[in-house]
Amino acid sequence: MKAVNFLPQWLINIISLWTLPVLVVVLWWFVSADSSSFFFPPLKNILAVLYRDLASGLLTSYLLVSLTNMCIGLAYAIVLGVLCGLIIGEFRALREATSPLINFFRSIPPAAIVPIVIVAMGTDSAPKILIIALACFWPNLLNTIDGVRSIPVQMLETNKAFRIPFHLMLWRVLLMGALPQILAGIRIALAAALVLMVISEFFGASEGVGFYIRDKKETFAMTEAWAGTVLVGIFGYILSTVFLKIESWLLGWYFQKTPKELRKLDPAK
Amino acid sequence: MDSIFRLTFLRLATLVISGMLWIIGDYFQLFNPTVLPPIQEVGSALIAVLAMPEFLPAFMATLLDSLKGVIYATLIAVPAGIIIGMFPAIEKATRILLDFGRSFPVVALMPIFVLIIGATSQMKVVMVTIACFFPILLQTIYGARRLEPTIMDTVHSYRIPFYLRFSKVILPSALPFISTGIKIAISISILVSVSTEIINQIDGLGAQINLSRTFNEVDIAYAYVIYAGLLGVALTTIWDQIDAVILRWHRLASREN
Repeated sequence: MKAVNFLPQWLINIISLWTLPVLVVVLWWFVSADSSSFFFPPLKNILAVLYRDLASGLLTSYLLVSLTNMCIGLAYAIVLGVLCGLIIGEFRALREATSPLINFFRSIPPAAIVPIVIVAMGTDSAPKILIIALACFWPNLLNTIDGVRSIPVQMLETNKAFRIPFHLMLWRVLLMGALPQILAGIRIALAAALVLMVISEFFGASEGVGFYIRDKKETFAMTEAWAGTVLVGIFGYILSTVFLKIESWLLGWYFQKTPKELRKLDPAK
Repeated sequence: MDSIFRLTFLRLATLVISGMLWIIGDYFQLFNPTVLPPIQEVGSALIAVLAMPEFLPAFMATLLDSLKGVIYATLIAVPAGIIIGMFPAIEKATRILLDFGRSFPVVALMPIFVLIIGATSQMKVVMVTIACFFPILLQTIYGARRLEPTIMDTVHSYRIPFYLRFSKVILPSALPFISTGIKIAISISILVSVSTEIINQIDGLGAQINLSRTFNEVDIAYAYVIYAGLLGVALTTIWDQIDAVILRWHRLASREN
């Protein structure tokens, strides 16, 4: 027995997807509305402060600084990681020789070098970009190597048989063949970049969203600290959602499935 | 045999070459010594640190708090993940919240938690637990959803009761994914512990890195960084061994296919 659908499918979809998130926010709003607790200010005040500081341009300029650092760091990491990954992945000897070293460097928590780099290089953008790039380099490198290795042998042999020149093979075969894994690596790197952006601004900075949160905490402005945290959360969500859209657009040829079908297969997507 | 020699030679050669690059770069003063000190200083610091009285307590603090966080996160995330995975309606209802949670940089909550709980190792455990919760939860959901339709149909036609279905069918089939989730969580836990220690001066390797840096002992700071990395490697290697034992039935079966 199937219930008769009064509503169109897309509306049911939206309702079943958004009911709980909306409920959580509404609950937060009303439960915290009369809160006089110092630690948990009313959501209304948090959003009001968030709007005030965004509108005054203070938080907007901080956000711009943070995102610029993050994008530059990420860009360096992607270019270097993918390039090194394509070359290391292509040559078996190189891959085998470097694997212990890569595994070791990858396991070093990037946050651990934050104090070393920031104390030595100062509190401007350069050390932050360096840290973000370093943290994002490893997932990009490792995923690119895996991606190159996952290219079918027949395809590579066809390349050899037709004597496709190296530069053509690098861009049109290896890069394209490894693209699904490369994008998966960028997705991991994006999350890492956001974390390192926040940590590096907590540690030593005079601007940026992380600095805003830390500074407000230091002056016990709890509502502002919450506002900054909420902003970081919203941005994390927007970034990963936008990236997923780009990914499914770039990889349409690879999945050959509609995004809807894909979601059925993998809840993580 | 020949290939093993070749591999060892290649790997040793890579190590020697990277060491040489470090020495050469240092000799020509390409690196700022306050960012990257010479190799011999870091090498001797690696040994010197072991003899320091503060090393072992710091190491244990990071290790134990990370493990506590992983264990708490596993205890919460696995049942939650299986329930979400079993019912498609719940999975759909929680999807956006989970997407939000997994893209949220947990470290951003640190200042708020420091004010609420204080800069204690308890607060570190809370941070680690939250950070490890999402990877384990997502892997569990993924695992619980991958049940083959034939098995599901069999379970339905025999009217297997709910608790048996949970413990004998869904949990075992999700176990390989849960194990992967825990492995991801272990490396995240070290990362979150160390960054919490660095920013809030809570006992552990992170606080020692910060202290050594303040005293201008960059080589000692690097030694602590390296030990933090090795701790992560050691823990994931141990987990791989545990995984191989408890999931022997699964790994053997998947190798045959």
